[in-house]
Amino acid sequence: MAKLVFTNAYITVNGVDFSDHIASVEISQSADEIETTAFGTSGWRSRVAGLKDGSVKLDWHQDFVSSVDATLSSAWGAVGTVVVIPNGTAASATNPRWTCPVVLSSYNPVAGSTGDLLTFSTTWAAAGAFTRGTV
Amino acid sequence: MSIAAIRQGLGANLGTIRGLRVAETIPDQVNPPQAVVALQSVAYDGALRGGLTTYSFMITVIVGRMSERTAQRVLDGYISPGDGAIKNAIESDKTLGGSAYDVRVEAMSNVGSLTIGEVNYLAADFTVIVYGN
Repeated sequence: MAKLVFTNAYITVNGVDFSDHIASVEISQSADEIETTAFGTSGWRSRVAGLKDGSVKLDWHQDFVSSVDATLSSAWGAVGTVVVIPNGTAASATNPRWTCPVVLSSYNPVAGSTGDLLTFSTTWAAAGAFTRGTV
Repeated sequence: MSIAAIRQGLGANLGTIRGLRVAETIPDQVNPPQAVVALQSVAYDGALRGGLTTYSFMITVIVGRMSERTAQRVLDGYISPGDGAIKNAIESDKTLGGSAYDVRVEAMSNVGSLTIGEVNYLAADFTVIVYGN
């Protein structure tokens, strides 16, 4: 796999496959920048990485018949796990799996305008280390 | 969910309008009052892993122009939301017999004369959005 047109990602929340009800996904990871500038840094600021953080943003297609609403209604307000594999269900060295423990802190079950497809977005902050696996 | 099944579902829903003939594919000859189902466009990959495909259909409703006033009155009946309307009929079974997630008649446009084989008709186009996969 080289460059990738992103259509075939596999995404689960608490083990339930929601791939066909999700239109976009964004895993964000960052680390605090701790300044360590002192005399003798040759006129440049110096920094080291501090605490790491992350979040997972998902854009959903709501579905009250399948398990979207049922799962999220019972799961939100607790820690859950989002798993993302970019291309299909099999993780490998060239198709890594991200496992993201997150706080399912928000869920907006109904957010739409007349005539539009009923969608909603969630952004969940990290509840622990995001891990990258290859098997 | 196949396009043929979606056409069939649209046809079945339109068929609930008494007296309206339905052509699920573009016919060689029209037999008014008649609704003609035509696929306009397909948008793929609305969700990951083929979870959403959006089909846009144009349904042209053709009525005979026996007299202008009568033709317009018949067409108005198909356009006005309510019993006997195209919108109500198509959305009467939103899964199109199980072949779609949802369907919506989005708009009506292009009311006007239509000439087929030197015969004048009155016609209107209905834009129908079908969500499937």
